[in-house]
Amino acid sequence: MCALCGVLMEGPHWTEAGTDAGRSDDAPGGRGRYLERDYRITIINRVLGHYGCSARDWAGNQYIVQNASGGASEVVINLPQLWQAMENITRKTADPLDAKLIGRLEARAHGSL
Amino acid sequence: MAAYSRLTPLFIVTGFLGSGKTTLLNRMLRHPSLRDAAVLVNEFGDVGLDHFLVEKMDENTVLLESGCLCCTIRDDLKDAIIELNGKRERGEVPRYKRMIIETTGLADPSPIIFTLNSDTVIKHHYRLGSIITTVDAVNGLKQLKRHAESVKQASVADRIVLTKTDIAKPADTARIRAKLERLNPSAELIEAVDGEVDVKRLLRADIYDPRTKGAEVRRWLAAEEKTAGDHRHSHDVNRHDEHIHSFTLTFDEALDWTAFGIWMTMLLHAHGEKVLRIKGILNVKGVAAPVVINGVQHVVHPPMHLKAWPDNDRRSRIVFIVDDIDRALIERSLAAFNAAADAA
Repeated sequence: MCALCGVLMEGPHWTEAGTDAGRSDDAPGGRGRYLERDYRITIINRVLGHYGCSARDWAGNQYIVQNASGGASEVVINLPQLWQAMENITRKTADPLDAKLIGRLEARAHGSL
Repeated sequence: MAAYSRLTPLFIVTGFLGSGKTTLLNRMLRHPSLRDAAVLVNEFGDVGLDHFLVEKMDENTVLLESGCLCCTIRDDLKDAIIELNGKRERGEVPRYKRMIIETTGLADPSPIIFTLNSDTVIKHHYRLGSIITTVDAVNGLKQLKRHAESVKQASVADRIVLTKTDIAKPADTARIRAKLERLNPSAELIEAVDGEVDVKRLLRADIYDPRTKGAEVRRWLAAEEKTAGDHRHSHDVNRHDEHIHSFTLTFDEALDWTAFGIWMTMLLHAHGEKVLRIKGILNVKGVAAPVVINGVQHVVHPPMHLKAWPDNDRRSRIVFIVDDIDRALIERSLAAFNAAADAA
């Protein structure tokens, strides 16, 4: 637990743990921890944009997920919690197999969005 | 936390009722290489038949008394592991180096796997080793057709032990072998000959053993390649074993690791119960060495670098075992997330 803010800390999630946790701090993508985190949030927001919300970093180890108006937000520590927070805030279902989400990501990649 | 490969491995022994699970466990426990194992057995119903057979085999045996190892008694399993861990730390039991958990024949192994990954104390001392599933060569096909638990037990396995081959008709054995190879191509299929099984073979080639991980990945890929062309058979959607199918996705272009992690966590969030296994080797953008991924439903092992590619093929290859999820949709979705990273 963080002595200042009382937030319960867990071990790193597998997406952030590096290879063979405890042996390497770098994610398999080869970036340092903070660059990787910035990059991850950029991509997360491409997905969350479909649901009308966004995420930002808090203290380098948590995410704040909030809706477009900023009226609803949740603090989470890893990606599985982030998807749940998105659903709580937007009342929509986070599903990567949703054809509309896939279409939006494809359109963006091809420069038509 | 100790390096993942140094944590105590937990082996799960599962299999449908009467498939020879307890016989296998008894054989395993007599083997000298398992003298350093702690064993958790499960009693089902009023008469603890399993208990009678296994109880005397090992002083570290703890009997779980609440019946089936399903979600309702997760705490028993968790508490039993933590209690045994405390005894080990205090020197009250021998310093066991691995743990074996026997499930009931009716158990869906998923909640057990989930329990092992959800407790902080357990996660700091243990890791999931192999899932070993017994399948009966005489009755296995019928069980796979009729019982969803049986299909799930075979689908999540790392090792499948085919039992009763000495009394099964050779044609029946061939049919169940073909069925299992189609259902879970990356699992190693081992026949118990006259009840005997090569215990070392069952436990070796752990994916987190630095000496054997390369060979284990080669075996996954070779097994999947062998059965890759065999998935266009007709499907009877009223059968449990036809809902679940395996396939391999290959990607010529290197994958973006960050986008892959985002995609996979979202997939498991939405469809974790239907994604029984994901195993594979990834060509990650910007990284020379391949990265191995290995997941069982919601539980994903830490990714692992191999020192070198296991063969000349540099494509990412991911084996999926899923329940009623469309292959084309998974492929298109992963490609779209990867493309979203390209545009970042």
